[in-house]
Amino acid sequence: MIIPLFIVIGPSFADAEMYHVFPIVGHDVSGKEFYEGAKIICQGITNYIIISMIIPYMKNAKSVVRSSIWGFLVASMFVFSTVTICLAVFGEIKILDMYWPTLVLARMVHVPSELLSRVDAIFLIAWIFAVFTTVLSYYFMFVRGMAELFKTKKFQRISFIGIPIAMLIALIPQDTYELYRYIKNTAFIDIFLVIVYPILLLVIAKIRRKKGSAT
Amino acid sequence: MKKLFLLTLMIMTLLFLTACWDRYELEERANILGIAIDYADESTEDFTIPEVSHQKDKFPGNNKKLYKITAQLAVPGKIKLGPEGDSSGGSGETSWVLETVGYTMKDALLNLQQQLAEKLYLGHLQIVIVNSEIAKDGLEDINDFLRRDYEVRRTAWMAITEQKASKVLQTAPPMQTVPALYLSQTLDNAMRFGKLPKGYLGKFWVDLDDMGIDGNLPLIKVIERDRIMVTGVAYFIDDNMVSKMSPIELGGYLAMRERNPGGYTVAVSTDDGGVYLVESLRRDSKINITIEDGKPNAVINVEIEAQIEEETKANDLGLKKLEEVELKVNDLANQVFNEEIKSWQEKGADLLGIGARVRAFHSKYWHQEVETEERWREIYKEMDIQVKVDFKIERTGMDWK
Repeated sequence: MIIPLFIVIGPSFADAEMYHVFPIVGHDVSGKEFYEGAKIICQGITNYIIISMIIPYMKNAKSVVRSSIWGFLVASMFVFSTVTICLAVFGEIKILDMYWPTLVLARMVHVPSELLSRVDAIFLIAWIFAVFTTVLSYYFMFVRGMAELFKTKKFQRISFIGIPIAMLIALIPQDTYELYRYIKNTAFIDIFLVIVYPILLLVIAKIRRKKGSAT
Repeated sequence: MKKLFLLTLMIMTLLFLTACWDRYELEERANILGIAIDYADESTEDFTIPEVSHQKDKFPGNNKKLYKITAQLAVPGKIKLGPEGDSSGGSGETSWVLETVGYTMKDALLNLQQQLAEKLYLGHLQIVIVNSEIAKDGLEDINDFLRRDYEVRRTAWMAITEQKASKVLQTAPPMQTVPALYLSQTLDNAMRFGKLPKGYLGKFWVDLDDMGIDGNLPLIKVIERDRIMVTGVAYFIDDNMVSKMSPIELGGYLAMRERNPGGYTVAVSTDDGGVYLVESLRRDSKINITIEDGKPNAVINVEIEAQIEEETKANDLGLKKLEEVELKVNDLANQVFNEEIKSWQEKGADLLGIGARVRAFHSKYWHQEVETEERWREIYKEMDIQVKVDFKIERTGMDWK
């Protein structure tokens, strides 16, 4: 996913305009609007919950913490730079008219020396892979969680039953607008996972006086 | 037994994994390379309006002006890669020109699809040529379709012409086998030589929707049925074309917007009658905006690195002469650039994006005084904009004198 993103971001610097980015703090941004945006972006980084679910099964659980923090930072930097370059190219007014600005950016990019006339095909292929791996890792979380909840080891059965349920949930939204409404309405879960849940765990750990020792 | 059952089941699932479900062979696709849009002239041309997306005379909406759309399709297998000895066929065989009418873009394309066995495919669309009459009435309806359709590339060109757009699309150049490709290449190359602003669709739409900046599109014209001349650019207020610039004005515009490389050449004369042609190589422009007493002022400092390309009627180029030429060309450029800005201000077209800069760097002022684009136009018309051009002639070619 990183390489296609580079292909898209690199050449589009030529189209970026400084006056799209300034003023950096935005035009009359209220705290509420800022929160609305932050809520959505939380969904992009909930993957670390999955990593934390498999940490106990790793050999060197301690070194994982450091590398996962690095991974987290790199991923956030990518999200940040993608958003920035999209904003710099399109401007805040135009960007509101689009569903997927990065895809549109990929369609606008001229790769130097005309190696590829359409970058968006490569971009989309990479995107589909990224989406499938993400979805799969969430599914792993679901199966694992369910198994622990019911205290069984029958992962196969759970994943078999889970597939149609996931399919049916995916069929609920009827159009793209509705899909985005669902995304907005479920964002609070991610807020819980990203902010409330770790703090809760920390508090519990402090109360029980457990130090972070490997199990 | 169980294993055998599983194996058959697995093989059977392979049937559901067949790829290419939306496959279309190249020959089954009608690749549109260029579209020309005119208003249909109902009195002189005779046609029937097909009833594809609506019943007769029942198209919703008030606007009953018909678009005539001319589409150029590539005939598969006929386009030759690389040069080919026999070029006597011209471009008539490699492309196929179709005409249809419709109330909107999609309506017309539906009518076109109705006439064709192949599926229309817009992914290779290179150029959209729009008649200036339509551009003056507004491009929003056309743009909406092009933006919404996921096949259309944003690197396609849109060009305005004052002639019949269908005529422009059918120019038959001897250089390229497909006219639409030739057209888009003309524009691409003009952009590379620094003769046109980056004006393909995606960029144009960004300028169109931004606050405090107006868009522009190249203006083209056919000469003798086989050549295309870029006659400047048409500029817009919102999505209505208001006026046009000549190529020399365009050079000034490009310099002020710091588009590189430079490509325009100006002719100046010194006092002793020598005539010099000075080509710009690199442009550097700084737009400084200050707010004084609640009024914005802009000073645009343009620095142009240039070279002398030709010297006629004299043969005494030297250090002193060079300074004189620099002064002369500065005077000329100062005068032309300032006049140009004045004419844009009169029309209210903020082509340099001064409004966008005010909004970005003086956002407090913008929110107190301006807020809407209409208000900005009023302020823009009365604001004081000064251009200072500084030519630096760095090279004079291979001749000493």
